[in-house]
Amino acid sequence: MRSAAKKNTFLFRSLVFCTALMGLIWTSCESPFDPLAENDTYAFSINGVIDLSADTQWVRVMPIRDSLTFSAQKSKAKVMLSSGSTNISMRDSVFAYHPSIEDVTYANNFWTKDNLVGGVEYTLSASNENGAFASATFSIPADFPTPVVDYREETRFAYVEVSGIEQLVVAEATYILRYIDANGRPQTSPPLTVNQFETEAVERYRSGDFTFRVNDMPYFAEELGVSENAITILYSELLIISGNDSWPRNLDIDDDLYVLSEDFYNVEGGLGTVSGIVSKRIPLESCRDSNEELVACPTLPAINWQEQRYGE
Amino acid sequence: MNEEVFPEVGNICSVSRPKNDYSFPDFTNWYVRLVFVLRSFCIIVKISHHRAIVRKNISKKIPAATKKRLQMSYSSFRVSERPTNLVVKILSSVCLLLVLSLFNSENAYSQTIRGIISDANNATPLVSANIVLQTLDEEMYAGTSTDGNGLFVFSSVDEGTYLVKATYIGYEMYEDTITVDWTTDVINLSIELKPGENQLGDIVVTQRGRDADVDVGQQKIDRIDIRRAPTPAGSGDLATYIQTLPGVVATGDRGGNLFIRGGTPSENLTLIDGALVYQPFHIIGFFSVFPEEVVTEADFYAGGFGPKYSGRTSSVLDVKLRNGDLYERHWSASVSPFIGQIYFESPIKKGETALIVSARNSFIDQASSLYGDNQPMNFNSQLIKYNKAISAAGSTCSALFMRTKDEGQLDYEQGDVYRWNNFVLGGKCAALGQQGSVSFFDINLSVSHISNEVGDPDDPERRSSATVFNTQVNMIQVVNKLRLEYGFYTNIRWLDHEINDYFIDLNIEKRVLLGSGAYLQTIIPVGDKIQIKPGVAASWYLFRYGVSLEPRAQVSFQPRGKKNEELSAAWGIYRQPLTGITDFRDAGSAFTVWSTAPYDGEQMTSTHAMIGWRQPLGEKIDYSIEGYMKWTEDLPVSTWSTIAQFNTNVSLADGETQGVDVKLNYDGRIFYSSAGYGYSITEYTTAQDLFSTWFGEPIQKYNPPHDRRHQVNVQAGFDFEKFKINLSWDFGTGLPYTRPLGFDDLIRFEDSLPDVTTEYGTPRVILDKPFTGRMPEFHRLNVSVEKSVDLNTLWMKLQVGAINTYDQRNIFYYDVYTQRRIDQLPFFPYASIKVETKR
Repeated sequence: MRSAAKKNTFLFRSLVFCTALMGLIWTSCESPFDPLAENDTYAFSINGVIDLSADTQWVRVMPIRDSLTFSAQKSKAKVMLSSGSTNISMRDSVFAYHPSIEDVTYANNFWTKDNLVGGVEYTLSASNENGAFASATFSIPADFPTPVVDYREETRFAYVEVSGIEQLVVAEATYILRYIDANGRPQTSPPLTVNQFETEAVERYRSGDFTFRVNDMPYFAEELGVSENAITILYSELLIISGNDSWPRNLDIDDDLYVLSEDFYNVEGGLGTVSGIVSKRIPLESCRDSNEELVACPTLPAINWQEQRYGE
Repeated sequence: MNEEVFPEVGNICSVSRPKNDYSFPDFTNWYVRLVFVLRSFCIIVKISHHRAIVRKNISKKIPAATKKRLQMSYSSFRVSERPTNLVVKILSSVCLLLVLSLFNSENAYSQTIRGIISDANNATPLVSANIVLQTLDEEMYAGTSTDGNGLFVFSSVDEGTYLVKATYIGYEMYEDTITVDWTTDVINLSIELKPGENQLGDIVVTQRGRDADVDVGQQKIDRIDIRRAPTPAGSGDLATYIQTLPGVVATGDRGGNLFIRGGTPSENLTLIDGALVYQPFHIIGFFSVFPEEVVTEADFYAGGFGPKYSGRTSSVLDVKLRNGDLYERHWSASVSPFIGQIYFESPIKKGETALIVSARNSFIDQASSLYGDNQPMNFNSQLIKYNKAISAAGSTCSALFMRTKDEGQLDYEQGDVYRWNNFVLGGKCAALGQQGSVSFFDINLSVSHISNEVGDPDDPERRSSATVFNTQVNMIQVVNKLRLEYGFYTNIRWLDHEINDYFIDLNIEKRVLLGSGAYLQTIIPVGDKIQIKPGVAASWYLFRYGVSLEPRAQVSFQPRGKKNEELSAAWGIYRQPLTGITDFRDAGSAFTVWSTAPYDGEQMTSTHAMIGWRQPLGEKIDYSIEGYMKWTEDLPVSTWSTIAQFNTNVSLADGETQGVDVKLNYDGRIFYSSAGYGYSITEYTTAQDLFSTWFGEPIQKYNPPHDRRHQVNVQAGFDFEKFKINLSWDFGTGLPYTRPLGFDDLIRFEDSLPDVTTEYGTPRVILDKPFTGRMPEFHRLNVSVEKSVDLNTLWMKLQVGAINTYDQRNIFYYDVYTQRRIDQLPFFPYASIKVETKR
């Protein structure tokens, strides 16, 4: 009995010793920790709009990075905009952004001044020397007639008809206002934009045709805390943008759904959205022909993406 | 039949208490118990009826989206089936029959000898003390050992005169004679053992706890266990010891969160002399509110616990505090770079009342700068206990006050400041039944409060608090050889939180929850080798949850008696009315919102099934193997997010845990050691709105961030004369975390036409499926060396030691957004000094 107990004790001590020894051996092995998961799903993040009306096209093409920050450097990516036999090589520019006074961040935006064709499908592709590849296929809508605006000076109310477009994706009115504030001082506002979709004024009355009513002065009066009569419109314009299936749908969604849902991305091998559009900037006023019939006003210069859009 | 005057029964449901009658009901009277049970039944029926009406009305107000979500979680995506109502009803009916048998068998017992064995100095009940009845020629007649209350009962004792002998390690043997005749039904014999010359003190621990009735999943912990785990302080701490047990996962040495066999911290029930402590562990993981000095013993149940414990679904830590010495004064004081503490114990009225006072304060915030490190964490705690020995019969009353305060940054470079406060006020009386068949009863009254907050230290953005006032009566009755344990409780909870949309779905800020419950457990011996413990707990919560029954059972098979091998098993259903919701998307969180079940859903429910084998190998060695499974339903978890964000929704998940714990102990006179291995898999299954969009499947399974697959703990110690060396080596495989795939900038289209030349976008982390990555393994060696110096009436204990002796870089958590790795404590040498009076 006693010898059995001694044997047990010996066995136990041996076990503890061996375990301790194994532990010490283990300590010599430092496990590496690489927190990033291997990413063979997403190569590039590609975002932008290709505007048939613009003279320069800009698209953000960035590699999926290993860190949150990105230092200024020329992209090693090759970015092509192709349609059939047409291949346009886009050029890289490093942009600096200042999210705050102290901070500066950088991004690679690619551009081209080549003319594009409406109603045609394009593929924007990005690749690098390591074989990473991502692409987005989209079509640019055909050009559409300049919308006709019926604007009433006395009520500052406008009725707009847009026709010949596949999808109305942006309908914005932008104003620069002068008004007398509560202290009796005259003020000039910065450019103020009202999304006409938010005012629920947009109606589709037949395929490809839209109408909307622009009646924004009551809204500004309430926002500025003044009467409508105290507001003078110094400048006003409309931005009408035609899109198609490449424009992200169902945008009233939360961040989670937006991030990784393929419904909102058309980039394969990466993340992001590239969409083809046709934009029209028109003054918010009525134009009439010699017979006093309402006609479309001449368009304003297309959006210059590198300049302030509504600079005076 | 006893001649008793029965009050007029009338309508039992409308019996009201006479005005100005403040006397405590005499629960030893069977009629009083019967009325109590019937009244309780009437209350249940009334409340259920009322609640059904209220629920019907409330259900009309639930928004359609929430209803849909509930339906998703409760029906079509249920993975593990709920226990059928039929099983619950059958088991409950069995227990009800046992209750009825209780009242029918009032006079069925014959001569009974019962009593409490306690320490003569402080009236602390001695658990697992041996007591035997011998004939006058010293032949064994009967023998037993005391239970957790120090209670022993001999029933059906034949007429005659017997020798009574009671023994307990470290105490003088008690010896007397007792005569049993037919003139009395019950003989109360309470015994006070005096620490004797053969006192083996704290050094010799052979056979410690071997005779105790230990259920599967249960671990008895005493001061010696606590002292053996190297702790960077002058005294051991229960928190340090518990982390050496297999099946217990600490996600780091900060935050005070322990995950036990797959359960989350808020599923653990911690009791201090019967009173609830919401957050017993300090912000520095080595310390709890239980230093070695104040603890007599603790029962730790990793699962499968009996119906006496309710309201939590994972584990129970039932700590019994030391009673103050009724005759002598003792004190101790110690200091280390981590903590300073004082302990004081004194009789107030000699032989009758005494007081203990314990206070602790951390120094790590200040001391860490000496090490060139910054650990901005602070805590302090105070504990006062007053105890009174009512009579020599072992009856005691005690009052308890405890408060704690913790504050600090888990991410000490730039994280939020976490802060929590505990407050406990409790009173307890325990006594031997003076007549009738109730052998023992205790009454508990307590108020427990937790408040926690996180954010800016001057203006925390989020806060939550919970307060509970609880009354409970527990009784033990032995009828022939059938032991019945039962009790009743009523509590009221106040819940309050203001979380600034942190958990977007928890929009209720204040709630009062009134609940009551009862439990019954029997111990049925089947021959000499098998013991069955069926039981049931019942609870109901006014206006919130219906009546719920939680049947539980334990079975043990001891083919060669208590001192030898034992096969045991347990099964039970556990419900939790109050959920603690913590954002465990990363491990570095210590903020918990205490709330009722989200979406006005049902209580979180867990089913445990366990089987275990304990095997002694000679006098000093034993090992145990336990296998377990847990199925948990309606577990609140943070809704998955593919972007790093600071608020979240709450979703419901089902959890399944299975594992094996193995423990090997060697308990010698000079050398002692233990080794434990735990294997565990925890998997959550959850259905969330966006899963179909993201992954093409509406249901996802994942391993939560506390799923430690393998764990090894080795402790060894050497205790020779005045030297003591302890070491503890812990190893655990890596914990899950959500891996980033990379980073880019989110350009949004919905606000206006995106202009990449002027808009940078929103930097974002592109996350993989949650918790698919594993952090590196954790391992650490803690060592302490102690020398005791004899200063006549005092001991001075000098200790040197080190945490993380070989300076392993153990990760605490990884911040995917800032790409920072936050590590646990590096190599941290320390020295401590403790002075204490001799006992």
